[in-house]
Amino acid sequence: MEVNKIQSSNNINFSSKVNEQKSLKYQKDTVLKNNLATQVEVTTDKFTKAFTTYPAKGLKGDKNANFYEFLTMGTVPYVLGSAALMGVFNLANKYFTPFAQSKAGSVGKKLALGVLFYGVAKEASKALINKPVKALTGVDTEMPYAKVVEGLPKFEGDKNTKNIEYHKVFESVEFPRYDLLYGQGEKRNEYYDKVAKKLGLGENLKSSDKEVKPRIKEIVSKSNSAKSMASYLWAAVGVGLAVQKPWDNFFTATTKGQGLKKVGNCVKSFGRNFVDSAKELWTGGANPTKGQKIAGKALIGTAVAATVLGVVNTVVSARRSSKLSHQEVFDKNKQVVEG
Amino acid sequence: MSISAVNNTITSKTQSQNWENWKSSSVNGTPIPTEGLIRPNQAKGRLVNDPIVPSPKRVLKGFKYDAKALKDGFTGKANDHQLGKLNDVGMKVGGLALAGYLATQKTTAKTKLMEFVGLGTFLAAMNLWPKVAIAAPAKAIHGFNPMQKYEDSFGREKSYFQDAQYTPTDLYSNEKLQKIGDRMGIDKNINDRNDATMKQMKKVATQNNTLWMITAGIASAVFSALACNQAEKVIDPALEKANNKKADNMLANFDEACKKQENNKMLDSLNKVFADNKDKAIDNKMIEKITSVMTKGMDPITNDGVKADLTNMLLGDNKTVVDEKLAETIISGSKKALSERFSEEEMSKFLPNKEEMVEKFKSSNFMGKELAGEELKDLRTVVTSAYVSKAKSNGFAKDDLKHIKSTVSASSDEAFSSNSNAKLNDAKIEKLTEIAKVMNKYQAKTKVLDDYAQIKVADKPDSVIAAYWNSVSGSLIKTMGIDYKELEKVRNNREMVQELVRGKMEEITSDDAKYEKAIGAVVSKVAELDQKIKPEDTKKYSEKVVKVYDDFATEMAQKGMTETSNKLTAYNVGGKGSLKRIKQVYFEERIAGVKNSFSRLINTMDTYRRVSTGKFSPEMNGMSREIKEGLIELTKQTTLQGHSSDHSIKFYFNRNQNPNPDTSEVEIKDGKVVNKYFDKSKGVDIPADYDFYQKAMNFMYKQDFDPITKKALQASKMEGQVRGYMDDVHKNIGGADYFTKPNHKTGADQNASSEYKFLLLGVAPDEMFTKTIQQTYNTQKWGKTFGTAGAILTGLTVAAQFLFGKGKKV
Repeated sequence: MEVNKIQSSNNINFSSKVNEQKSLKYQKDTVLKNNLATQVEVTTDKFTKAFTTYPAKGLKGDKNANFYEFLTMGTVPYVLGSAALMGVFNLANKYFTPFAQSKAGSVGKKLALGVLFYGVAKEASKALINKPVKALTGVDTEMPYAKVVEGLPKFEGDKNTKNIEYHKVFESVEFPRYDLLYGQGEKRNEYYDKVAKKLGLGENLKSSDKEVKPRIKEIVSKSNSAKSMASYLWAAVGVGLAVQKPWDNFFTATTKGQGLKKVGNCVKSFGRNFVDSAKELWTGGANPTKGQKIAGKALIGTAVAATVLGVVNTVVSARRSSKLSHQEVFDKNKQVVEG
Repeated sequence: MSISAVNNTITSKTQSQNWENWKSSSVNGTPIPTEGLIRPNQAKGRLVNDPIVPSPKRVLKGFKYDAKALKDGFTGKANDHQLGKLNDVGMKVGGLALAGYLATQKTTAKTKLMEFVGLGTFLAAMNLWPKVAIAAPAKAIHGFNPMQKYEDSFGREKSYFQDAQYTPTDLYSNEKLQKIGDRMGIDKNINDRNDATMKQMKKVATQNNTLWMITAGIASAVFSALACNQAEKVIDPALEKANNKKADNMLANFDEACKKQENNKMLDSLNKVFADNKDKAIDNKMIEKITSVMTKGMDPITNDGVKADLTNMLLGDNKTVVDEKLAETIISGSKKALSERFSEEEMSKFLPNKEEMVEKFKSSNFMGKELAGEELKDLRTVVTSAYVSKAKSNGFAKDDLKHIKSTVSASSDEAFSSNSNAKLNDAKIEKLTEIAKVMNKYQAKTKVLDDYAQIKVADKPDSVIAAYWNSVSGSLIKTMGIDYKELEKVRNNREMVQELVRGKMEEITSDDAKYEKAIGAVVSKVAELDQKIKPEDTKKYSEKVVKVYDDFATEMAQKGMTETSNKLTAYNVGGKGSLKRIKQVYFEERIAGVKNSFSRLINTMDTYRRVSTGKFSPEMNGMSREIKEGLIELTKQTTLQGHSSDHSIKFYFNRNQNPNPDTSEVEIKDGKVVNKYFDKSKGVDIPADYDFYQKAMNFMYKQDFDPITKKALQASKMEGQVRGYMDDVHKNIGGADYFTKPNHKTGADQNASSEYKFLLLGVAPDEMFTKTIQQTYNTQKWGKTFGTAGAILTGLTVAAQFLFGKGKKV
């Protein structure tokens, strides 16, 4: 290809070291255990690359910059945007008069805390749907896998064309990686057997995979929809929690003491004020108006309702023993064109 | 890439041409027979225009798609594209929920609205940033839009270059690609030029997509905040106008507004109390309960009146029933009261038990009777003697006996009234209901009056008067020509503000054109208050207050509620301290405070102007130049920064007690007095020199306006207001007595209250400027900080795009 010809002229600039093949952690696409260690590993890898490798590749217009990298870089606006929002609420305060500074400072700190809680609540709340769905259907919609991708060589003889990306088996509802879930030999359908049993389809099915796949698609589609709606409502709860009055005590506590004592004070104060703020969010605080009395309850209630409804909607239909005729991938009576 | 060969042949064709091309394809020159073969449906993909401001049709289409995605997501039929869209829907729904919650935590309509505006500007900034700062410059530089949208065969709208490795083919026409190639400088003579152009487009698009990701977060936050800031400038006057109109309508259609406020909540609560207590003995507790229901939300003064009236009405003609219950109540009540002084053991020596008390009732022939008046006094004597005689026989001291007697006596009276024969019967319920109905109507009327006053003059950020104050004081920075650097320098120090404002006043008043412009701007701005809160409306409001309270007081008196009636109007003490008077005075004084403050500002500017132009009063002719210089200094300081305390001590002003006899004219240069004598020595206050005081007061408050000031005041019909203000100060403050300077008076003491005098002087201009300068600086500093950040980010983002696509063409 023409690409290679262009790059080959630059080959002389590279040392022989570049041509040594780096060993990759995974040699082929591999399903990973969905545990804390994996989550830390994946998050760290994606977060680091989102701020280093991927922007560097993207800004150069690298041919190997792909959609995964683009999506992974979605963390960048999130983090920088959060920092900028915190800055917008706080940075100019130091120039104000002491009174205006203290007033703006209290609001600014709470809003900065709100930005933090928004992100934490949004991500953490996904487990509220994922965990029960997994427990009741056997389908882990967040199941991670390491994907080995092969890019175009940068120069002739480039041996480091492979990279690891971290995806989720069910990240695409249209093209889930069912192939990764098959076992070897007699255990070929082990995963699908387990899911079938969980869904009440029975045991020792001849082809559990065929029975289960349409249901998995439905589970993924429904639970992902529920996560999209509920996670932002929980994020709103996070901000609601952060704007309560008790946090003023926490901000005061952060200015007292020194060294480890200060850290201890902060941790204790955080815990205590977290609980107090949660109570205030629920009750509306001291002397609440009618609206304030119900607003916190309504906010939390909506998030809980969306979560429960999402789980129930996902689980109930997945476990019902209907024929699921509508789940057929192809309508045999219609002509099909792939888009 | 295995398909590149095919691509090379078809990329230069439009879709229909491609199909025609495919039909006539051949292998090694031999045509492929296509008749009767199944062929794929013709692709319907197309490039779509995504304008910066989308058309309503496009917005509606988006809503429809989102709604279907939500439905499909709920039923488990959603595809990847729909699930991606649901993330955006979730973000908007969550944002609305959050804005809704935060709005409930805010107290004013504006701050509530701003929560939703904040959400809107954030979403808008997220949406507009890539279009304005990335796509538009990129298109201008490279000839194509890297954010180009296309619609696939299923009607799903996607970004063409979202994944540069998997872009749809054939959607760019040959003509377009050639044109883009020209712009990008792709060699016109190479093979597969369109392919090379597309590769270059992908490279540039990848670079732009990355730039978007890097900049979007900061840009969304910064521009959203800046937009919010600007939005306030639109929202503030709009809300103020809407609020003002609402209040005007309330007063214009007062009866209708009152009807809207009427409800049966109080009557329903009262009926519940009646149902719970029907035919039960009336006691103080029951009266308190009924009072609290009837006066819910009312002030404590009215509450006291109602309670007194109900007590009198319901217990006035009652009798005390002498029975075992009364004995129990007396003993328990007195025990509680006496325990404050005596121990349990001590009390056991004189406290009678129930049987002993009943025996006393019987032996005194009161048992089973209903008593009132003198008979009750006799019963009280029986009761107290039962305690005292026991205590005496047990050796308690005289002082203790006295205490026991008075305590038991009080406890007995309480027990007598609570063991009444008065019952809450139908007749009493009917009477109470009639009173409650009158009060219900009254509460609706006062609610309308209160709402009107709250909107117009309340001490809260969104009242009409607060908006007016902010508008006038905010405009002063521009009128006085105070720039950002000056704001930054003086903002934290009132003395520096004084110096700055004084300098600005002197500069402006010494220049005819500048002064005409400045005084014109200030006066016309100040005059706006009479448009917002019309004097005739203030009068109408005051009259409504009088009518509502007088009518109510009359009706209550007719129903036997005389105490309540008196509390409402206080006619028996000349109306002082009544609720009616409080309502009138609050409204009038709030307006007076604001009007006086701005009248004082105009008076200050006029005084400075008269100094700058050397127009002193004739009585200053022939004065020692040194005294005149001091007098001018005093008037400049007093008008700009004097407080009511300075006036009340008739000024403490140091000057030379042996002034130079030179009577030449003072020299004025650029609005400043070039002092020849004054300020050269330390000086002292001269308490005997009332002439100096009177001349200073006359110069500030009695002299004619400068012609330019007068013209401006007349143009805005403000001359009467400001002249009236000056006369009031001259008369009420200038005439006030001060014992150490008894002759420092401009006339007879009017005995104005200190509160009135305080209100009359309003806010000193230097204080007004200090607060305004701080607020203006904070706003400008914030705007400059983030405006600069936004400008730099935009500049860098646009500049970076000139570097994209550089290097060897692919």
